[in-house]
This record gives sequence, C-alpha cells and structure tokens, in this order.
Amino acid sequence: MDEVADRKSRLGRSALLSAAAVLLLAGLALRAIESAGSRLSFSPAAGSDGVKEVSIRARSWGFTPGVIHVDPGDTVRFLVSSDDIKHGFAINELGFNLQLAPGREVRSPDIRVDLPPGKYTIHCSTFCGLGHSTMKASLVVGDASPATASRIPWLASLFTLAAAGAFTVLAARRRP
Amino acid sequence: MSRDLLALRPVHRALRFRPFQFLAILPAALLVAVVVASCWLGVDHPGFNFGTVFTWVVWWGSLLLSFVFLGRAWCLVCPVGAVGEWIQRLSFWGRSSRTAGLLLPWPRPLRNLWLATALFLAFLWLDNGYGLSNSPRLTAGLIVVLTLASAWIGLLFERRAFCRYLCPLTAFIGVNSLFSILELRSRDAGVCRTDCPTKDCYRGNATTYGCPMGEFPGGAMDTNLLCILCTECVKGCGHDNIGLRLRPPGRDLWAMRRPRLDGAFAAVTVAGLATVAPLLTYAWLPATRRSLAAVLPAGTPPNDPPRLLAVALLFALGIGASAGLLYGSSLLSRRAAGVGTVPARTLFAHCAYAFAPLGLFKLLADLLDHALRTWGTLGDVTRALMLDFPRNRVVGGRVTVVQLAGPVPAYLMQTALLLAGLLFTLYALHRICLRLFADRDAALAAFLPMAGLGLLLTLLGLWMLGASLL
Repeated sequence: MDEVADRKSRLGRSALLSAAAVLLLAGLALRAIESAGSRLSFSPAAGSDGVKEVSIRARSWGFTPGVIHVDPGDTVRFLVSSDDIKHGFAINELGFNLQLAPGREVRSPDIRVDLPPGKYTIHCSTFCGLGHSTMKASLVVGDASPATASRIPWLASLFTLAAAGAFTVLAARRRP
Repeated sequence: MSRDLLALRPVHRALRFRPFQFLAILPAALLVAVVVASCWLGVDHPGFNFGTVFTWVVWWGSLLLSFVFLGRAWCLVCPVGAVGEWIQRLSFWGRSSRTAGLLLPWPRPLRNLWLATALFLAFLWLDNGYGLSNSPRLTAGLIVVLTLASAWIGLLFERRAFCRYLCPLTAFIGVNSLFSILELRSRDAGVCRTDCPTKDCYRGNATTYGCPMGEFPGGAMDTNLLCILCTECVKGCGHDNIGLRLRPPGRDLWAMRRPRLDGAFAAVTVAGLATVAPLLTYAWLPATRRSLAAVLPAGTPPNDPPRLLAVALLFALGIGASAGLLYGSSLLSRRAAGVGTVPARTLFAHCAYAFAPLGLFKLLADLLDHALRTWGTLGDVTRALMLDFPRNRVVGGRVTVVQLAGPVPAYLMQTALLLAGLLFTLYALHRICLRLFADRDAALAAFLPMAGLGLLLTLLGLWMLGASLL
C-alpha cells in the first residue's frame, strides 16, 4: 500500500515540478519575445508635397519602428535601409516589395493607402536566416480597434496546452 | 502496419536496375548546375536571383518535406556526394575493378556525428552571421566548395566518408529522416544471420559495391539515420532480403536499440536551432552586438566582427541552453521515476531523438509563412532566368506580390504544424519511457518533465510566429 502511495506521490510531484518549470521558463521566454519586438510606434506627418514619408530600419530580425500609423487615403513613401545583411520590405496588401542591401537607402514609390481601417503586416520578403519568419512589423490604417487576430496566438496556446494535457491523460489511462 | 514497395514488380525492377541512382542524380545535377550558374553570374540580390530563391526556398522546403515522406532521398540524388563516389570508383554506375582512391579507413576517433554537427553549426553561423543564404555568390561558392571537398575525400578515404562524416547536412538530414514513413531494411534478420556468410550488402561482390555509408543493412542498421537509399544493397543481396517499407511515421524515434550520444546531440541541435537559438538571437542580437562593438572594431555588415561574434555567441548559447534544458528534464525525469532507475544520461540519449519532429515541424512552419507570402517571386525569377540565362536581370528591381493566405490563415496553418510536431514528440517520448521503465507509473512520471519541455518549445514557437499578430 505504501509503495502505491509512494508512486502516486512521485507522479504528483513530477507533474507539479514539470508544470512549475514550464510556467517559469514560458514566462521568461514571453518576456524576451515581447522585449525584442519593437513596439516603437510612428505616425508620419505629411510633407510639403502631401506625401507622408516614413523612415524605417531593417535588421535581423525586425524593423524599427515596429508600428506605423497612417490614415485611409494617405499617400505614403517608405525610405528603408538595412543595418546588417540583405533583407526585403513588403506589404502585400499594398502590392509592393522592396529589396534592401546594407548601407543603401531604398525609396519606395509614392503609394496611396486605399485600404480599409485595420492592421496589416509588413514583412521581410528575402529569406534571411533562422528568425526570418519573425521579421515583421505592422502598418495600422486608421483607428483600428483591437483586432480579433491579436487573440489568436493565445487561443492557439490554450489549444496546444489542452492537446498536450489530453495526450497525457490518455497516456496515463492506457492499459498495458 | 507496413507495406514493402519492393514487392511491387516495377519498383523491384527499377531499383535493381544498375544505372538507377545515376539516372536519379542526373536531373538533380542539372538543376544544381543551373543554380550555380545563376548564383555565380546572375544578379547579386537573393530576392531577385533564381539560384538563391530556388535553393533556400524551393530546395530547402522540398528537403524538409522529403524527411517526412522519403527519409534521406535527397542523398540518393545529391550530385555533391556523387562526385566523390564517381571519382573514387572511376565509374558512374557499374562495378569497376579499378579505383582512383587511396581507400584509407576513416580515422576511428572521428567515426561519429560530432564533426558533422560542428560543421552544421558552422554552416548555420555562416548563414545567419555572414548571410550565406543571403548572397548568391556565397551560395554558389558553398556548393562548389562542398563538391570539391567531396571529390577530395573520395580520393583519400573509403566509401562515402564525406557523406557520412563530413557533409554539414548529414547529421541534420539523418536525424530528421528518423521520422520518415519510408524505411529500407532487411526483410528477415534471421536470413542475414544464418543463411548469408558473404554479407554482400556490406562488403559488396563482383557486380555491386558494399554500402557506401558503411552501414550493414543485414545487421546493425535499425534506423534511417545513415541510410541514403542508394539501393546498392537491394542490388547486392543474393537472398532478395532487402525491403523498402512504408511504415507509421517516427518509428525509429522510439524503436532505436542503441541511441548514441552524438546523434542525440545532433537531434538537440535540430530542435534547438528551430526554437531556442532563434529566440535568443531575436531577443538579444542588437544589444549583444552593441556590447561587443565597445571592444571589437566594427565594420560594414556582413564584415562586421561584433555582429559575427554576437551571432556565434547567441547560437552557442541557444544550442547549449537546448541541451541544458533536455539534460535538466532528464534529471527531473530520473528523480520523478525513482532513484536507482535509468541514468539521466541514458534518458538524455533516448529522449533527444524524440524532439526532432518538434524542430522539423517548426522549420516547416517557418518556411510555410515565407512561401505563402512571397509565392510570386518564384515565378518572376524563373521567368527572368529563362529570358536572360544565366544572369536573370529581367526582374528589374521589382518582384510580384502574390499572397496565397493572409496572416491569420497562415498562422493557423503554422499552429497545426507545430501541434503535429508536438504530438509526434509526445508520442515518441511516451513510447521511449514505456520501454525504459518496467513500471507504468514510473514511466509516466519520467514522461511528464520531458512532455513539459516539448510543450514549452512549442509555445515558444507559437509566440514567436504570432508576435506580429499580438
């Protein structure tokens, strides 16, 4: 009887320790991710030619500023330079894709933002290494209300947690 | 649960056809030649050059997918490894009685995957620090250097020493191929043991060579780790005792009889480079570079010593942290299962392989995002290459934007991939723990810390990929 109780308590301790380790490390990872993404926000003012000019710097793996605010109907010009290796700078919804090289500022054509209010992804379009898929920024058009999309990573995390939990329960119940 | 493709007569005839591998290599060699020409002579921007777009998106993506369905099938058609073999054998496909090689045995201390893993890490450093995949010229240079190295090693050492011990991708390809639904093995181990004194699959005979990778399909080879599917053993086996079987994915991960530490470290590298290493580099590269610039002379990227060193340090830290996390989980598992059971080192060696699918599916998720966003580029650069071979200048500074999926659908697809990787890893971990521990409660207790690590790495991937949605 003691042996069974000992096994159960070991199992409980293992579950507790594992959960504590995951929580702690996940918290640290989340903090690192949040601090890495540039949340620096920029709202350009129109120049004498009526065009809103935005200067952006690209690096492995992010853009500064990380959030650019414009209004629907604005005409925007992007001046983009790379701080390190070759990157791309694309906003698919606006239909343009610039290729960047270090030490040279690339100027986009004047682009009219004919997009409904919302948040659009700016991404690197040149495969630039292991963190390439995280090299993104946001173009916020108008007064975009908090998007449902921002909840999706949390929902995906909860779903993953549930799937891993379900697997563990099934594994524990499986008869030899 | 498995089906032997070699039981199908056309497959059997094709794979026993002597020039089979040579004919499979030819189209790949032609493509590689076009890639090298385009990279060497074409426009010097990775986004406009056919060679770089093809190599680092199409080839890389196909390679990752091939691990799932075909194991090391790339090695079957790889012209880089073939060059060394052709030079050594003085023949493209037939059994030659002559050789141009010295056929030296590979040094005993180097008969493992440590050197290959170190070269893989060096390749990653060159890629992420110096922008190897970011430069058409460097991409061409890499292919040429690897081909020359293969030829040189083929002249010095026996069999495919380059492919087994030196190719920077061999450990990466081998570990990921453990997941494959395809395996080449002996059909009946008893036949090999008792009825086959000649062991032609390993030693070769008058018409075929022994396994080029130095494996023994009729004996110790129990995983896909080093099988390049060259089918030499299929041709050489006098008992027709080699099968090419379809099987449930990932079986090697938990069925491996003697997991080695070198392969285990390679598996940790695969999982770590897809998860922890990019996180640390993403989070700390600018700050680390700034700190190093205070003590090292700065240059113009990519020739910027502080940045090169920062990438090296963060990658080393990322891979070290991944190994540390797995070893920490092994200690927890051992403690949870009860003292006096399986040593932590054994748990580490067994369980490390189970994390390979997690890394593989994360890398697939990374590339899926790029492919969905930049699909139009491939059409542009291919058209440019055809109109202006090999310089492909016609793109003219712009590439077409074709978005196959928006950010949310793309993220959901990525989530599905990461979840698939996690579930395969959990399943493999559970099977491994059940095999290592006689007691089911002890197995479950040992499984939990490992499962926790799998969950953590998956969440990390989900958050990094979803950072732009937040």
